[in-house]
Amino acid sequence: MTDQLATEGTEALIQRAAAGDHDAFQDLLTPHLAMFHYAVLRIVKDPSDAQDALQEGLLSISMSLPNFEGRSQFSSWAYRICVNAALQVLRTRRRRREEFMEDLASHGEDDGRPMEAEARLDWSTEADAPLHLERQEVRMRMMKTLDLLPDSLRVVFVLKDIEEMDTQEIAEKLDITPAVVRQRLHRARMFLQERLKPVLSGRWP
Amino acid sequence: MMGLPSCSEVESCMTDYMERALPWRKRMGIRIHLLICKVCAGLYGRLRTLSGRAKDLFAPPSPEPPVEANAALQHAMDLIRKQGTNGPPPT
Repeated sequence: MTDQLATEGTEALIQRAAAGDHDAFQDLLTPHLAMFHYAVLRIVKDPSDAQDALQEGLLSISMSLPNFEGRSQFSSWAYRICVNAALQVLRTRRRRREEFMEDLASHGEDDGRPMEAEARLDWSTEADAPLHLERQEVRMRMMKTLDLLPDSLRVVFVLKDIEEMDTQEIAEKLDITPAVVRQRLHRARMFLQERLKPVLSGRWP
Repeated sequence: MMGLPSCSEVESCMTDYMERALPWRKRMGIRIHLLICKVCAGLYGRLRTLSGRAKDLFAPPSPEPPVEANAALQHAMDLIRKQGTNGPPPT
């Protein structure tokens, strides 16, 4: 019953927002804002880029709202739009980087960020660390570990394992083959599992 | 009689195995290898945990939207209000 009321409330907000009611549009977005922002941030990594991507995503939602047919939940539909905006920011960033830093081409698909050269978090040398850290600190360290991945690997991992998109959809979004998606996913998972062994082995505080 | 894949072969195919992207024969070889090799079974377990719990493991530290998210919303709302209505801009 509560869910039904919530759904009816959302539908009314959608109708009002689509008709040009700005307050309704803001009310519609606000409950999902943290989730949208977090999805975008995981993809673009940089907080300033995340803000730009989120803003673009919200504007796209506004423009597309009159065409929303309600075949999926509003939050899922809007979420995908924000993810697409983040991917667009990432593509733009990559293009700019390629234009100005030609020497990075020799690093191929890893965007020139050699994983091993990064100042990485080596969990194996402080095996007991998670036991003594607060959960929140562990989360922050896990986020930092995720950030050590090159863009090309992190995006695939985020879309597949966190956003739970299927391989074919990711391949289409990133304009790569499903085999390359699995290859990048494997490299990302291997990188993360190596550094997060204590957490993945059940030593979670 | 087919030979079992080596540990390095198993490691390199682990994601394809999890994604069911391998031919049946290769898949069976890996399955048997995992039954008898503790090291690869451990790696497989960690990869499954990582994949299965990624949403939880990498969850946002706080449910409240950060300052940047609110700023993005405000900027978007300013632009939308300037434009006058939701929906595509008039041409």
